[in-house]
Amino acid sequence: MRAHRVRALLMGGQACISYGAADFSRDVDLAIVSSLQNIHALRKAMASLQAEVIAVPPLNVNYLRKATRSISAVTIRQRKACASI
Amino acid sequence: MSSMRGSRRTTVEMPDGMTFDVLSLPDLVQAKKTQRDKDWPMIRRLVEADFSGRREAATVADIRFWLRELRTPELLVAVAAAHPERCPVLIPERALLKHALRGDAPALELELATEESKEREADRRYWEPLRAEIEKLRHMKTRTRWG
Repeated sequence: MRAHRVRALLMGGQACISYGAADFSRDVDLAIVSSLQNIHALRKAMASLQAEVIAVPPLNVNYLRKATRSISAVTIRQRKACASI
Repeated sequence: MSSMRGSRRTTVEMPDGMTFDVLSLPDLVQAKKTQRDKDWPMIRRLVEADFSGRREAATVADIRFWLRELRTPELLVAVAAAHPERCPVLIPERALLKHALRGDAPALELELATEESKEREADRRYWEPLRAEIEKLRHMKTRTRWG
């Protein structure tokens, strides 16, 4: 992610662990800035990891924008709909 | 770990020097207010851990955050007792603080359960119209490669 300059923030269970609250988590949840440039970077990062899309909605900037316009403008309700990868 | 209350992110540095950005604690707490059972004990643990780690050098922003988000009756009573001047301005958004000011932990416990129930219901209402859309997408889903 860093190598491809993806703008994202860790959230979910892994974030809880980083704040000192023990949790069992098998996935990594990220809040992703929904710009075309960032989605492009994310696609490259995921491709380099040979990752597959396994959940809906598809990684499409329109879906992400429906959920959140940007990290700085994210609202409580919107954040819950951020893409989980 | 470095963060400022009010910032939307926290930067964590690993032992090997690598860093990554994490959603700020207040945002993470809000994001955890879902209809899922497992999220509520986690919110409690998150705020307790924050209180425990920062109480000795608490800022005004920390105190406001704890008064808004603590879910542990005894700790809410303790914070309200230590900072009673911070409560009145927050009571309009979190009425249960009046019980904290009175030191009434049993009443707080009841109100915290009501608060949780309302948040769960709000989350259910939020997802209701989206569920059909997600179901439709699920049926259309095909496994695809990135890139």
